[in-house]
Amino acid sequence: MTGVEYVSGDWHGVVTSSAVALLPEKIAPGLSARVWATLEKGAGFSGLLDVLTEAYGTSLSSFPSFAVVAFDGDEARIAVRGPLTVEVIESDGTALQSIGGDRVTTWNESVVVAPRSITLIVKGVTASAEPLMMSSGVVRCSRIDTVLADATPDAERTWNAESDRSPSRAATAVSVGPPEASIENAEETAIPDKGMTVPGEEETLADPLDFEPSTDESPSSNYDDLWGATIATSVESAAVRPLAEDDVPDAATPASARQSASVVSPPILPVAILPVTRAVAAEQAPLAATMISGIPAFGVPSAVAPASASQPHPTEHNDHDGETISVAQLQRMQTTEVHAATPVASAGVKPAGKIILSTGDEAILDRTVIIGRRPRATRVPGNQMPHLLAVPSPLQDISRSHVEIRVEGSHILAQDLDTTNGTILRRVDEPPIRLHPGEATMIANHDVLDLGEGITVTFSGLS
Amino acid sequence: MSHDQAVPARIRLAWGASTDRGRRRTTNEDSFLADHPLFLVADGMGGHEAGEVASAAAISAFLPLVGNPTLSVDEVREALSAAKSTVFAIADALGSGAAGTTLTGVAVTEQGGSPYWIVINLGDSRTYMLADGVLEQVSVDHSLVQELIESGELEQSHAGVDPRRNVITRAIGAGNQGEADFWLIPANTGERILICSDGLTGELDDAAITMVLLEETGAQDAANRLVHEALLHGGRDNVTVLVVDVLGTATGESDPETAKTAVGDDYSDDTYPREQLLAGG
Repeated sequence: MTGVEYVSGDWHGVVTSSAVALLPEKIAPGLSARVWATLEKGAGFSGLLDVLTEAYGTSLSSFPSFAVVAFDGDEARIAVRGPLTVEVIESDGTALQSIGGDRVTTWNESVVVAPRSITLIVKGVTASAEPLMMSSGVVRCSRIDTVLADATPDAERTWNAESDRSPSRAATAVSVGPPEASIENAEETAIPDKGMTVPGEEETLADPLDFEPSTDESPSSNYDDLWGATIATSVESAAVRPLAEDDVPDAATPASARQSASVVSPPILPVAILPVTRAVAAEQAPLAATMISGIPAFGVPSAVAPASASQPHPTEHNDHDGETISVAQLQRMQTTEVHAATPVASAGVKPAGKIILSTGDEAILDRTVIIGRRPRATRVPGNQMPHLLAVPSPLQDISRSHVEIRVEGSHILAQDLDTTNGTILRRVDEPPIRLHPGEATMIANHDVLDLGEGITVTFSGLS
Repeated sequence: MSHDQAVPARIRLAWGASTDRGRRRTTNEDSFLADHPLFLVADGMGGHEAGEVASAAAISAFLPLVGNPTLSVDEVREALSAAKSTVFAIADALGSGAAGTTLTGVAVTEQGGSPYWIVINLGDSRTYMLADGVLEQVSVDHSLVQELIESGELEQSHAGVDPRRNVITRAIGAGNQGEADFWLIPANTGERILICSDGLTGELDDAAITMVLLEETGAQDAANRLVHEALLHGGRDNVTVLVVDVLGTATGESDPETAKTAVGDDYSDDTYPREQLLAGG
C-alpha cells in the first residue's frame, strides 16, 4: 500500500501500513486508537474484532458498523458491516467489485488478490471536498481511497501472515510527517502520549513509522509451538490438538480411549495404555492423574493386536442405544450364549430365517431389521447397517422406529423401541404379551409381532 | 434395501458453506465438501500443515462420488476407506503419525424409495438436524468428554469447560484405527442439516445455534452468520459450517406402500397414542 487519499467527513478513518478501516462517527472513547494499534500490529480483521468485542460485547444488536481492508501479501481481506461500501478495482483495471455491508445480519466478507485500488465509502455521502493524503493515523472522513501502485508483492508470499508484511511497508510514497500532522481530530488519534492502555502500544506507537512488525501479541503466538517454523517438539506433542484457551494445559492426542489392550497403534505414535476407559497419549500428562506420562515405555507394538476373548470389540461400547438386555432378561430367555454387548455381525452367519410383513414385504434375518413408520438407524458401524422397513400408518399409531429385530448368534431378539403404543407379541398357544419397552425378547418360530393398525410381522424359518 | 443408482434423486436441496481460520490460528486446517449428494466437514489435526493436508485428503477421497443422485452406504464406506488409506500415507510421508482428521456429514441415499440421509461421523465435528424448530445433534462425538458423560463421570453441563474437551477418541489417521459411526435418517421437506467443526460448537451453544438457524432463512446466509458469530464469540479455533436445506422430497412411485407411509410425515412426526392393545388380548 502506498498511502491513502481521504475525503473529510464524520466517520473515523483508521489508516495503518497494512490495513484501513472506517468506523462510525460515535464510537467508544479511545476506540479508534486501539483499532489503529491492533491494525498497525498486523492483526487485521481478527484484531479489529478483538477490539470491537471488547468494547461492545458479542451481541450484534449493539455491534457497530465497520469496513476494514487488511492487506496480507498480495491479498486484501475485506469485511463490511452497516451502511458502507468497499469498491475494488482489480489488477486488470476494469473489474469493479462492490462489497456492501447492509442486508446482512453480521457482515460481508471478500478476499481479493492483487487489487489495483480499494475504496471505502460511507453510503449516501457525496464526497465533494478535495481529497487529502496520509500514510498512517486516524482521521474524520467519509471516504478513503487506497491506491496500490504496484500490485505485485515485494516478497514472496508465505502462509504466515506475520512474516509477510514488512517488505511492502517501506514503500510509502506519500511523504508525510508523523500521524499527528495529518490528523484533524487530535483526541481520537493514535498518539502515544495520550495515556492509552493498548497492549503493545509502547512499542508500536513510540514510532508509528517504524515498520518492524511486533510479534509479541501476534495472533499466532499462542500456537507457535505447533505451527511455527521451529519444530523442536516431539512427535506426540505435534499430535496435540491445542486447546481453545491459553491457560489450559495441552490435551492429549486422539487415542482409542476404550480400546485397552486391543489398541493397535503404529509404532510412530506412542500411546499410553490404561485399563478400561482412559488410554490416552499425553505429552505432559497434566490433565489428570488418570493419565500416564511415561510415554516412551508405552509404545505399543503392533503385534499386540487382537483382543483377547474377554475383550469386547472396541466399537461395541459406544453403539446401539437400547441394544443392551438385562441379565435377568437373559436368564429368563435361558440363553447362555448370548452376550448383550456382542451383537454378531451378519457376515458369515447362516441366515437365521426371515420375517414376513402383513404388507407383503419380507426380509431375510441376516442382520438387524428396524420396522416403523419412518425407521432410522442410529449409530451403527458401516458394515452392520440394518434393514429399514417402512410400514404404512395413516393414523400414526406406529412410531417412526417402532421395533428392532436383531440376530445374535442363532437367536432372534425383538425389542420395542420405547414406542408410544407398544408392540404385542403373539405366540402360538400363549396369551399375547406386550414387549417390555427397551428390552429384548427372544423370538420363536411362528411368533407374530403386532405393531398396530393391522401391521404384523411373522417370523418364519427360525431354527 | 439396495438403492437404484439410475433413479434420480427424489430430493431437492439448497446449501451454503462458510469457513474461517478464526481469530487465533494462523492456518485453517478444516476442509469441506458441499455438493450434491455429499456434505462433509473435516477438521484436520497434527500441526505443521499436517492437519490441512490430512483434512483435504480425506475430503478428496469423496470427490468421485459428487454428482450421483444418491449414494449407497457401501459407496460411502469405500470412499471412507480410501480416505483412511490416503491419510495414513500422508502421515507416513510427513513422518508424522499425528496427521489426522475428523470427518462428519451427510450423503443423500434412498431406503425403500424414500429419500434418506446417511450420516457419518468420526471424531468431534458434528452433524445436527433442525426440524420443527428443534435442533437435534445427530452425530455423537468420539471424544473423551463424551465418553465420560456416557459413563456418568461428567455432567453434560460441564462438558464445555472440561480441560479434556479437545481429546478425541476416534479419527481418520492420527494413529487411530477407529471405525466410523453411521446413521440412516429419513429426509423430510423443511428440514435443515447443520454440519460443523468444533470451532462453532466451542463458541456457540445449541440455543444460540438454533436461534441463528431459525432467523436466517437462506442456507448461505445461515452458514455465514454462524461462522461470524463464532468469530464474535472468540473464534479460538478454525470454524467451518455447512447448512443444507431440504426444499422438497418425493417418494418412489414404484413402491406404493412406502409412498403411502410418507404422506403427511413431512410436517408431523408425532405418534398418536391409541387404546391399549392388550385390552383386546
